[in-house]
Amino acid sequence: MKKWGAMLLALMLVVMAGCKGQPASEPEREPEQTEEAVGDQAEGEETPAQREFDGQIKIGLLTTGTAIATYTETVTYGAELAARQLNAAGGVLGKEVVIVPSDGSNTADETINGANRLLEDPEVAAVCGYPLSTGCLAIESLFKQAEKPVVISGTSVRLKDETDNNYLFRGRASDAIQARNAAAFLAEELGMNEVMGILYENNDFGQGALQVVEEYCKENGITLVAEGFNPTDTDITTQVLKLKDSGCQSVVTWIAASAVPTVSSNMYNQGLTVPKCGPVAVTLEENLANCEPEWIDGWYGVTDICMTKEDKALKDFIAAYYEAFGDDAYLSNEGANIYSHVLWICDAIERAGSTEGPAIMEAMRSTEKFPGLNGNYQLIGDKVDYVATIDIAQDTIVDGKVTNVFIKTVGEEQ
Amino acid sequence: MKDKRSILKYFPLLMLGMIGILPLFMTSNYYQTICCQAMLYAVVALGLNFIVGLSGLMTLGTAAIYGLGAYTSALCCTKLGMNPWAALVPVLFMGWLIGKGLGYPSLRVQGVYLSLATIGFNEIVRSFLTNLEWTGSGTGIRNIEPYRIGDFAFDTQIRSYYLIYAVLLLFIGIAWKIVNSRWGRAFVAVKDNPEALQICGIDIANVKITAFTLSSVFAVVAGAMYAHFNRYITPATYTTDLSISFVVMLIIGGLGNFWGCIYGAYIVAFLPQLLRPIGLSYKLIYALIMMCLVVFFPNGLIRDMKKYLTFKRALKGGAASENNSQDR
Repeated sequence: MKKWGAMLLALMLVVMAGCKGQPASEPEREPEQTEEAVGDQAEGEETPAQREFDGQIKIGLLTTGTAIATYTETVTYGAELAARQLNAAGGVLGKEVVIVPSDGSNTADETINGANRLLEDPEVAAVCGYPLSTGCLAIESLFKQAEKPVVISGTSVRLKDETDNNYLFRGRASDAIQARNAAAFLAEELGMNEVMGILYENNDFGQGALQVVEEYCKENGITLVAEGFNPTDTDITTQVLKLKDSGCQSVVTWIAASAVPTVSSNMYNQGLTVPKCGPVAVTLEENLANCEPEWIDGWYGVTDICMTKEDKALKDFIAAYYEAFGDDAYLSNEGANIYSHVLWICDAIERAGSTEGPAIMEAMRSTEKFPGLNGNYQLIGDKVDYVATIDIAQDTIVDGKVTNVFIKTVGEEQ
Repeated sequence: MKDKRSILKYFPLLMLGMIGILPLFMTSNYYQTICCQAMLYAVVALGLNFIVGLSGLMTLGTAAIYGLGAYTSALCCTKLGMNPWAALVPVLFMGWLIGKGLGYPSLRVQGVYLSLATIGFNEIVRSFLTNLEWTGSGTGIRNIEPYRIGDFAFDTQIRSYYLIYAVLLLFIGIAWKIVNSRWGRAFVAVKDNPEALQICGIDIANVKITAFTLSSVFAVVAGAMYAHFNRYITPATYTTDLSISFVVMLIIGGLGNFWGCIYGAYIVAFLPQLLRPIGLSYKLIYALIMMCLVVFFPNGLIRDMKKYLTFKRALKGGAASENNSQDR
């Protein structure tokens, strides 16, 4: 009997704790902040609650759930901020913009389930979100079938090369642009153009970059030394020493957030001092905080948006974000990207004058220089890619703390 | 009382019937997809039951076998242009091969060592699939064609549902036959009394290898079905986490409990989805519920519930007879 009582009590406590939460995938926020969080809403203006809308336009938001909780937080806030600002300005087609989150848990199967949940709702006009490349590859056909646009953030080149789907929109630079520019920066800007190393994770993310860098080195007559490691490895001394012994002049380090401390400390400890350029993970504040400043000092990183860049639209976004969700809210370029994606979708809905999938798709395809925070959005080639620029930042110690310093924007401006 | 028991006896059949008519009421693609996943998990769990449930050998490499089935079929169809049905031949061969390959180490190592060896196998397979270019590297294989019969393609959710349902029924039949054959009894004997088995002149090594082979065949076929249902596969799916989930299905259903495999598969597939409205903490709650199930129902949900109900009934019966005697 005691057993049953204890079990019931535990279950009740757990369910009570869980039910206190909010809709799936939406991070907690202070209730009082939601009222005031309307970005640059002027005083005396009607609040969204007061304004009467002629119905709703739902934008689906696929998140990575607890799999990458920081992404989920910033992505949800970014989308929410865009919706609030749009609603404060009268909505879209006179309708209130509502964000509908759905958890994809960062696995292919769960991303399919998350996408199906959103597609079940006939009021969802379009979807954006942050599933990684494998998730995007798994769901793209669902959106084609449902004739609803989806703005993805997966960067694999296969999303462009192997799909034939006009409903698929990539709102950030692909691996082809990111990894290629990382290699090009090291070779062309820093002049390390004889032997290049690449340290990559043995997964779709790392493999994708490896292919691109291999291609770049082949085209430019650079000898490439490639070393891979498993994402769960806690020591990569062997790979680092091999790179060091190969005499490479620079290293492209294509690693995810969790590997940043391991890789940077191993490289520092083994004295691999050549210039390194990594993906966005090596520029994110929370990853830098996990490293001793000297481990990561001087590293370069390619990122969708360098958050310290002097750019008015970016500064306004950052100010509105913290005003809306508090100074403790986590913000990274993923949140800024999704903010841009929601605005882009709503701009297309406005131009299409309809919430029908095919009309939105046509409007999005015919976008001309939509000003996103991560660059101008315009179709590149004939499908999928819409953003061609990225920022290069350098991790630099300022007052004993590592911070990003904006170096330059690279890629072809549209 | 007798009537109630006979109804309970037919409950599994009733459940299978309900699974069959479910799509008539549940038209949502979302739920139909999860049902398909649950049915495929159930096929894997039925096979795994031979090793873990009946023979008492703990293997944690089932996801790799499931993945190899998926990749064999997908590669045969996309690279060699084979018909998906014809691809089942190399898939079955792969199952046989893995079963033999994994069965032999199980003769030398047992318990936690066997678990570690099979985890190693899982990681090796996943690493290979991630790194080989012809398996699509980390991003996997796309555009896998669906099964067809003539011009009729199993390319919609509802069609796939009934195809997978038919496969589930077929494998339930096969598993039932095996469990109730001399092989099934030999599997149980490996766990309960291997010495007696040897005295009877039965080759334990052969029994273990057969258990592994049968289990692998179930897993590879389910994997192949998954590839043609999903039409996209990636190595990231076949992690040790998935292998653990397969074992959890058996534990929740009750190790060695035939129908428990199916209940367990449905619970593991559906419970996280049902908990989603709670918010981001749903995974924590899912894990806690799983822990509670394992701690409080160590013999499986159905078996322990039955035990509890029987015990309650006995208590009631005892109390009633006491009352009757007092009345008299």
